[in-house]
Amino acid sequence: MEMEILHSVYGDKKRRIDTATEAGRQEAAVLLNRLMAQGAAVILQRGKKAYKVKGYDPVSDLLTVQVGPTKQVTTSGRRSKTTVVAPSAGG
Amino acid sequence: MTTRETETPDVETMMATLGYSKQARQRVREEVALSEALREAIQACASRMQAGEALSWEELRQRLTEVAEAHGYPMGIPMPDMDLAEQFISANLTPLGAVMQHNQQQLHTEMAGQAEKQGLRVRNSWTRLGDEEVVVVEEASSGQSASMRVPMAGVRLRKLLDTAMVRTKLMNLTAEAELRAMDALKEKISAQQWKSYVLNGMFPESSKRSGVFYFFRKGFPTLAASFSDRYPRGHILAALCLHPFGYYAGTFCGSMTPTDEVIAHLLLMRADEHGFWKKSGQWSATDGRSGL
Repeated sequence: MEMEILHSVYGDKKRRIDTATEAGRQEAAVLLNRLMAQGAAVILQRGKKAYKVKGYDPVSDLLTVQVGPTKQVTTSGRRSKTTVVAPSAGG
Repeated sequence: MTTRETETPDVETMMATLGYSKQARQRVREEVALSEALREAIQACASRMQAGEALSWEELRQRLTEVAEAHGYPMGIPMPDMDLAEQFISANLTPLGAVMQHNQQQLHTEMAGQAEKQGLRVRNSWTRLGDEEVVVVEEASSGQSASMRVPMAGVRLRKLLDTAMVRTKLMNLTAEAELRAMDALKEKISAQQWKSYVLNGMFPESSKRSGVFYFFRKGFPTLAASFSDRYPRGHILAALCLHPFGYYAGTFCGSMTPTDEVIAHLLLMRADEHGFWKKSGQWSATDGRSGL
């Protein structure tokens, strides 16, 4: 899984986590849960389409993404880029 | 050491008295540990400089980033510039947000907010034709009300200049970071959109979900417009203002480089359009905060 943390000031903040291993899957789960608890928006991109990540299951190595107002599906994050946007303030 | 021993029980007692949840207590503990680590890192840097060592902003920023990552904040921590007069307004849940101002209630007009800061009680405020804002304030002693008419042209110019000044003064907003952000944006948009962004500082994209057209602008709120039979030449629904981490009050300047903010707007619109609107400040085109 490739995770891009949006903050160009800090330089190239990309993280590659190898979810083929058990340790990698656990690391991805901890990191994603932490980021979402911190109010960050985790966004999975496929071409021009983008989906909001709602969760990650380290057992099946699948991401749950929101595809409609009430519809969620699971998908593999291995071939997609995931971008993390920090908690935002409207002003 | 002594300070830590005496301060920690106070925080714990305070949280118990206020009935903080287990999760909230954990968060406060983490933030206290983070603030102590930041203080130690800054003090260490200051000592090195006092000893005659030259330390660049880049090195200081790198050190603070390391501290943030070690404490489980991979996105980093926004550090407001102490030299700036503009107040930093942080997003909810931002680490150490309590020491900064959280996103406050949005008053009807920007001038109303400034009047409140000066201690005046605002009764009402609105925009009117002729490019003016009217603010009705109440005098504390007599209770009498008075109205102020503010021409917006000057306010807009002031806002533009303040934004430019804050961006230039902020040490973390570098030209290199902006160029890096532009490279990241280029991967996410079409060739035509990229050309428009480079030449015009903005690019359009429509939402298939809602049919709304968005104009993403560098350094300004995103414009949401509707093109219909009723408005064939377009009608601005709102100017959507949103800053990851936070922004400097009274300006268009956020804590990230302008193109990073454009990427945040674009991705949030594509992935969670409803959430994008919900989190954004929604200004009318006539409002000075729309950046028009």
